[in-house]
Amino acid sequence: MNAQRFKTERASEWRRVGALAARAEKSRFRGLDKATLDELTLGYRRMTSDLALVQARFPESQLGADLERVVARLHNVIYRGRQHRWRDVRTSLIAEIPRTVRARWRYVAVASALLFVPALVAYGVGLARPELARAFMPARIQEAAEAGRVHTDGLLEMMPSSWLSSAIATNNIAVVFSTFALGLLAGVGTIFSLGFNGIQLGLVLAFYQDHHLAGRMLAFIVGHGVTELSAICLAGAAGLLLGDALIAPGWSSRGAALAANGRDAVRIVTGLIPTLALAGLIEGFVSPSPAYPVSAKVILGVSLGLTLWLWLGVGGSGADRALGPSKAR
Amino acid sequence: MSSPARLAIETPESVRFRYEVADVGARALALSIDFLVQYLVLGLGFITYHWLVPVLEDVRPVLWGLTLFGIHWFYFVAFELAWSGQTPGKRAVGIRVVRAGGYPVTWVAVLARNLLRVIDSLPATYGVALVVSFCDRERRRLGDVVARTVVVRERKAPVTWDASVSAAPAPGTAAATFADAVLTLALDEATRELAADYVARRDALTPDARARVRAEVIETVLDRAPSAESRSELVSRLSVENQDPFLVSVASS
Repeated sequence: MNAQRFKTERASEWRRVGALAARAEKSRFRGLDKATLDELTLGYRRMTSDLALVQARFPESQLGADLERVVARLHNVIYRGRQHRWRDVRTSLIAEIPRTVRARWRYVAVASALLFVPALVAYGVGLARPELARAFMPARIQEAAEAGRVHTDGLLEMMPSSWLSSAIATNNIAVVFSTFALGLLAGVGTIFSLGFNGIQLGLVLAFYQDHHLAGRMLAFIVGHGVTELSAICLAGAAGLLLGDALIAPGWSSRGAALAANGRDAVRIVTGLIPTLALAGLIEGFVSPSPAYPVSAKVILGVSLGLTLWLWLGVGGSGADRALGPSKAR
Repeated sequence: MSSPARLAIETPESVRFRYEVADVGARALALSIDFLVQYLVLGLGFITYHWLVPVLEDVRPVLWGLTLFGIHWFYFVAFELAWSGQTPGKRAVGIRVVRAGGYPVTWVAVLARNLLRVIDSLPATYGVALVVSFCDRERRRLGDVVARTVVVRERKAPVTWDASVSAAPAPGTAAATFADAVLTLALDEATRELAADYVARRDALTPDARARVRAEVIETVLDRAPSAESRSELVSRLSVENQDPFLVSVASS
């Protein structure tokens, strides 16, 4: 058989299947009846056998290259898996993220230790040697503290809440993204980021305690701090997942371990985006505002933190049936 | 001429097909175009917000901050989700991100590969990505390794059996017979590979480059023809089919 004749013989079907695939791709399979779908899938299968035949009989031919290209496109149209829709985001928020965090709780624990142990040490050192803590504070903060003010007191006079909120939320989300990505440096970047944040936290608290302002500082922090510190721990866990895959991939290859851990890490990081957006709103509107009593800030901060960990603790644990594919919605 | 890297896929029907992996140059070009688009959007945004001063003085820095943040972290994510693995730059260059196995990208994969640009872009101008992808057979950067994605070339040239093409004098026909002719002649492996490679890639070339490369390939093939008869046969077939001035000149020489 001659390639040219084979092409002439089959061209009309190839054209029809190609047009069907283009239609299916454009409409995302909506409004296609069963007969059309059958024609598409059967046509695709016949085209794959045509390709196999051409590959065997006319290797390296233009016809083979063209068929290969079209079969590749059809393959992508037909075997595309479930489309990502907004429902996936919801399923992910309700069920997948908490499940992932629970399955990887060891990483969360290690990341928390890497944040809080340096924080405690820095706090102790800062109390024992106040001049050390002072040396780490910018001049602006030192002057405010000498005058008996916490540096966050006049925050709302400098910029409006909306500005503050968006700046803080975007900055924190960027920090979380970076803490995760830095895990790819064999985890060193993440460990450094966690430790650095912890030391800063400990030194700031020690510094204000030394100036007898710790209560006011904590009153500022408590509204959003529980959520934000949790977010840093979780981002650290995501980064450690990547680092661990590189250092100790176990029985799988480094690439496979990175892919498996990376998928979980990305899930965890995604859950932190809305969390930090909310924390940013609180840090911009509630925390610096003297209009809210300290008790309100404590209740808000603690209950938000509890909600976060309740969601991570039980979210999705009984939801398999309701959200699974068996209940086709 | 080394042939481009390929990503072999085996379908559930046990048929094998290959993607052409996008080379580092194509990806760098796409990235440059994307940066240009980002700067353009930022410039337009800056001018727009400047105009909005009297109207929205309070909101302006918020909008500006969110725009900067959104473009920095979500430009690639948003486009690759909306256009199934393409950004304006990738679309312009004709490349696309697919998952290993050739499937369309998922949101987890898109987030993973794009959040890890932070590392790939170290220490500057995507140095890490450059080194890593030169070492990888499938030209993946670190983000691609974690996300299990590959960037492939997507050739848009119409196939030879499309109505619009077959009505014309069919440029593919000549090439197919050229390849056939090379294959039927007893040429060595390297020469056959050269001809096949040219046939596979010719659609991606501009007409100018194509004519140039074609002339070179044909000359090389003719040089290596085993005998005077096979050489003249090759020339006569090609010159008759193509009406190629270069070949006619070779044939008459």
